Amino acid sequence: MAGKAVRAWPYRRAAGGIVTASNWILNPGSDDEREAPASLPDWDYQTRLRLRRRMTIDAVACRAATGLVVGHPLAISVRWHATPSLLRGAVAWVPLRDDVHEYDVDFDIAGERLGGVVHVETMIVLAAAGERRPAVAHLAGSSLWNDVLDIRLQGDAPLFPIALIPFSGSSLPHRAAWFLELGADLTASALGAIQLLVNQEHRRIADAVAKAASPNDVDRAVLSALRSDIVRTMLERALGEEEFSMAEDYGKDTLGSVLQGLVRTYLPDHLEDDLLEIRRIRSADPPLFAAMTQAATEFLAEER
Amino acid sequence: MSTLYPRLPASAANERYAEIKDRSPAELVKDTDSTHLAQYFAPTGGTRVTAERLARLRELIVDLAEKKGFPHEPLGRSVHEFDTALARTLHTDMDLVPAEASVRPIWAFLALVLLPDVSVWRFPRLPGDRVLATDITRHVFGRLWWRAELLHEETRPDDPYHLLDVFPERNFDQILARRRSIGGSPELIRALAKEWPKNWPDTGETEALQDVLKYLMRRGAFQDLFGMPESLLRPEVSRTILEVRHGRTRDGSTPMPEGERVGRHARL
Repeated sequence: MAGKAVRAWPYRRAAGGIVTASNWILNPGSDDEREAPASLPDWDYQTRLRLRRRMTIDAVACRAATGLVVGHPLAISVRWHATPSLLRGAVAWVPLRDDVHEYDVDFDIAGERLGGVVHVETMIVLAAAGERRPAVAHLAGSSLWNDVLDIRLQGDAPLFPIALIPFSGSSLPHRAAWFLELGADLTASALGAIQLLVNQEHRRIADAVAKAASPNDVDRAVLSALRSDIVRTMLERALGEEEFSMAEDYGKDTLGSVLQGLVRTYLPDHLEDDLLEIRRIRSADPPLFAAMTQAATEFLAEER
Repeated sequence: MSTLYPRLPASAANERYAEIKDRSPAELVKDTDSTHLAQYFAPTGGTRVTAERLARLRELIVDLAEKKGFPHEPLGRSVHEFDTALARTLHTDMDLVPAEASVRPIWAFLALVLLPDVSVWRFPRLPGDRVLATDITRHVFGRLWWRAELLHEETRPDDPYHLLDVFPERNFDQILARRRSIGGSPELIRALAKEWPKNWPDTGETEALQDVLKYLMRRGAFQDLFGMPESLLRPEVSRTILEVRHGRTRDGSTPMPEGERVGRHARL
């Protein structure tokens, strides 16, 4: 939970112990008060995101540790960033006092600005510019400490939106059961780049999707076929695109990163050569590749 | 409660694009619709838009276009004025929330089903990315909704869209192209719009904006540009603009007039 030193900072930052922060509490003061979970499956645009945490900071010690002059203004800043809207915003700015060490930080964001994955970052920052000195922060807003909380809103569902449409009204083959739309841009948000279209005129698949929570044996077989075919289609997309690489950083929650996750999950034995061998199998021996994805997805396996 | 708009799958959008791309605005006036057989809606999150509401939205947009010569006369030099008015109308009348406005298939529906005539008129020889919504920052309508979303100021109820015309399209494109970083922060973009000098001594405005965005992105790695209150953020942005401007002036372009104040809005 604590800030990770993933970059070289051009100045001294507050080391562990000077700042402590509790976990975030969701819906404080309500019957639903609880530690903020990693995902909120029941969230929708009408739900506000309300969080609170307690922080302990000794501003005097923080300045001393980071080389700042006595009395330099500091503040707690809390900001957020959401996918797929890519919006960012500020939710709390709390000036620090030398005679106060305990702070309750809480905020409330309108649900309409959120969706997907919300990253909430808490920072201790300079609340005014200072004199430029070697290895000492001087710009207003310079971050002396930070940590990040990620919450996936609506669980994993929006990563895989399903829509039932009549294929007879589209350019898709009318008797097909489903069609997986995948965007062209690997760096696009996965939430907008992946869409499963199910043919509502195809009774068997429409029934199976409708009863996914309590399927009978036939539905289970249909859903297994659907799952296996989707995984195969997405793996084919990854392997078929020359630009796709496991070493590339496509950014969080992008189509590229989702495809990388699928490759890691379903083709874990083919990662060492950056997919060279599995790409060869796919192009030279498609039936073997199909059988490999069947095995990896446990196609039509007995339920355990 | 937000309004949910129909989403047009990419396959149907491509098919529709092939149908309309070579036709004239006047021909397409008779080929618009408020529904498409392949459309679908988000399962939750608001109420589905009614046919009446779609008809009203179409009427508002067609009215704006007709004032600029639609469907028979080309838009010509009124592009900026039309886009600014359209951005305001889309943002005011669609009742769309940002998460829903990020869904590309809704923009494909608007451009290809509800308003194909206006799309073709605004972008003659219709490039695919202007209507298919493969990239919202290029979309005929989507990019304007986002411009209004990022620049509108709720604390100015008398004119919340007063910053809409600060940047011409090619310059705002520079900002939208950086939506994943600084372009996603309405507070930072509004600060930039308020501090952006009104008169540039030479033609280097776009290049200067690129430099300013580059410097801000670098600083954003260690400086909290997204969380600072406006009273701290605007001087930071102003200082960056001045540094870039002086740097460019030193490079040999026209010197900045003595005593010129950077920024067009008084700081509160």
